[in-house]
Amino acid sequence: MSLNRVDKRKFTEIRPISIEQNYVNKDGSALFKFGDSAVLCSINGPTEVKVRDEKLDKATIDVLFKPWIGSPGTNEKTHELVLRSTLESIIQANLHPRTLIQVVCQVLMDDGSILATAINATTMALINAGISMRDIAVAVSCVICKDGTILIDPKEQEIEENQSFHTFAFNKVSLNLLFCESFGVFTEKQYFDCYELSKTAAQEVINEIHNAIKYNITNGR
Amino acid sequence: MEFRSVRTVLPGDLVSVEASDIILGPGLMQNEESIICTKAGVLMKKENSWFIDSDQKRYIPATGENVVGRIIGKVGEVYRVDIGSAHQALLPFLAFENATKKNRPALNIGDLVYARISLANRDIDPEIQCTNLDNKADGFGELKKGFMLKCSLRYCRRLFSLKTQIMESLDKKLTQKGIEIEVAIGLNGRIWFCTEKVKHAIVFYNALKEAETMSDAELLEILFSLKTQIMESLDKKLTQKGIEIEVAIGLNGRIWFCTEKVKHAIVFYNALKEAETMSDAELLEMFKNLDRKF
Amino acid sequence: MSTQTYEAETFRKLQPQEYLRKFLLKEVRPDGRELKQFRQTTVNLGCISTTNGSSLVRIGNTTVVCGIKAEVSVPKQTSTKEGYLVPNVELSPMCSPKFKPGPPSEHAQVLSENINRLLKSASILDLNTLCIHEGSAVWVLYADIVCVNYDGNVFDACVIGLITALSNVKLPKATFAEEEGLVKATEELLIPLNLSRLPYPATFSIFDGQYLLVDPTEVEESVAHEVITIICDEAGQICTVWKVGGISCTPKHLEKCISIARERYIEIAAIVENEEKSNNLI
Repeated sequence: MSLNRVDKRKFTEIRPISIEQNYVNKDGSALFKFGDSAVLCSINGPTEVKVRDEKLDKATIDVLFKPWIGSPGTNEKTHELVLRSTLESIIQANLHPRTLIQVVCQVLMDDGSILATAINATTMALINAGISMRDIAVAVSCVICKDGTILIDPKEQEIEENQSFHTFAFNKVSLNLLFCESFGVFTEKQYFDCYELSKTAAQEVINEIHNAIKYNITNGR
Repeated sequence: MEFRSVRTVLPGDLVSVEASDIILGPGLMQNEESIICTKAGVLMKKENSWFIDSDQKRYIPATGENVVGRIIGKVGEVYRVDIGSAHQALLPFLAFENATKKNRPALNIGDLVYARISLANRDIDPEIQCTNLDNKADGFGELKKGFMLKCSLRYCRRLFSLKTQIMESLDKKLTQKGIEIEVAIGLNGRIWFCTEKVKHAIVFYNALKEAETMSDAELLEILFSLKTQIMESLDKKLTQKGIEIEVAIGLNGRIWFCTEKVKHAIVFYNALKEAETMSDAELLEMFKNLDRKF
Repeated sequence: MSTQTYEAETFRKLQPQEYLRKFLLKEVRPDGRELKQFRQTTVNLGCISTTNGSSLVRIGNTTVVCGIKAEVSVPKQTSTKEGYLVPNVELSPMCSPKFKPGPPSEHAQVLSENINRLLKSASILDLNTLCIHEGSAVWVLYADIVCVNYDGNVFDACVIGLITALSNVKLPKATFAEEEGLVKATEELLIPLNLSRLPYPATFSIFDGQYLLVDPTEVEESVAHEVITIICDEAGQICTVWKVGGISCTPKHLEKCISIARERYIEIAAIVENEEKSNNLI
């Protein structure tokens, strides 16, 4: 198979990952990069909550998503909903009732697959903040080209050229589907091919995360 | 038997345990038949007790822990105290030694207190008191003057468990020089200290801050504990030859020494640098033979 | 376990999850439906005469009105032949007390965004067909989707409403008079839009990681947070898969959802066809 992706990657290869924790002085923070896509996530909490948002049996999770350019719109609101519902299913919110866990995601560079990058950055920041979690979430995007080939972790250019775009998030333990967003026109078989390839790529992301955490712990960071 | 580390874990990892009655510490949760990690860190084990040694900055109150707090308000018969957790802690007026309805503590907003958490429950605001279990002050109470710094919870726990060693050696060295220092380590990520001179406070602050991110802290601790032995053997041998050497070992990754001749300083410097990667035994051996090099 | 007895309504309010679980153990849902059964769906076309195309969709108690209004505007400099299609979902306090007056809630914004993504990515309407005169005048279609009554699964209702309203749109024949710089339209000749595909949705909730609830009501939505929406078209191709919340979804669930969504497609298509027929008779 010829390597004809814009950056000479294999079809199923993810871009190089870079992870940095304790990036800003908050309760927890992390910078996650997929190649030239970078998202900085910072966590505050569990902290005091406004009476209006208070929940008596669990922590309130608040997500803010700030775009690279311009002000937040409906696209960012959708990302916020996705992040929040994903986090609500993995964070042990019942351990901290009547508190607020605030998550802020700031896109630093956008070169495609930004939602997947944001989910991974949030995972790393939550680990850094020491928030109790049942599991962790990892996400990978992919596109289906017009000729049917599937490209994992596409760059912006590759997303523009292709019709259907998919983002999958999996949990680490059972690799079940946490979140999926697929738009375009595709067949059932194509969808499950994307699903399986993304799952394999997600395993790679998990390995990278594991290595990064190990490195940070052994070096006392 | 000490706790020993098993492996680094991530949230969601399963821990396989053979024994049926086990004690789970922070970072672990039981889900039906399996044990799940909920934090990233190093899994520690001692017989049937397990916990995860992890780091974070936000404090979650736990009964019996010592904390440094700041008074932020008075409501009725209690002070409201900021201890860095999600909810403000309550400090009743009567939770001081010898406090009665008439003899109230006189604390103002902004004052710092060293206190013990007497009640911690996720559904209720935490309560603290400035006495030990026998209603004695025992070091708790208002922290007058001084300076407070914030650091990570794991670092505070580390300092807290080492505090007797650190304070003893600090005491010995500093009182000789007439410097007095008072320290209160809170497990909520806050350290308070008070010195007579501002200069000393700055030095101490820098030392504490630097030591936080130090990776070879263990090596320095070894050096620290070996200090007396090293100095004794050096003293005997060197004074015979008329060489005098003064050494101060800081836990903050800095060692100071002074010799009469520059030549000796260079030799000593090289010896120290070499010894950095050595084991304890080798280290002692080398210092014993140091006199020959001079 | 206490053996205190409650009224069913008290039990529902105190223990909503346990209440639903008790029903599901008997493979029936609180409103008497089977797990795989959709609520009764009706579509009413052309119900608002002041719009260019409209439809009213009912799924059980959930009611959505979609009206499409056409206006003339100037195209973008970068794409001189493309018209505009602007969907907007409104969830007002009228449909449910959980929505507050004021700017659109997050829920409404997410619905609008997802509908917009569906329109764009599945290229349902070729925007070039909205051109009146290249570089000077194009049609703008404002698709306002208003929820009148909220009882769960509002996304399905919105999509069905939008698609049927789009297929109901008839634009007047318009010409651009270059000398005057004006668009002239005649109401005598009405042209329907040319839609490339007619996708219809199906929404599911997973409760307790094992029960797959089709077409959840508001009560079910509030306790079963794992939601899957699948939109497919007449050829059986998939246009959208949207899944949020929960950690128990496996490919098996998805396969089942897709096959049910295809059955549901046929059901909705039949309902719409019947309505179109009866509409034409009048």
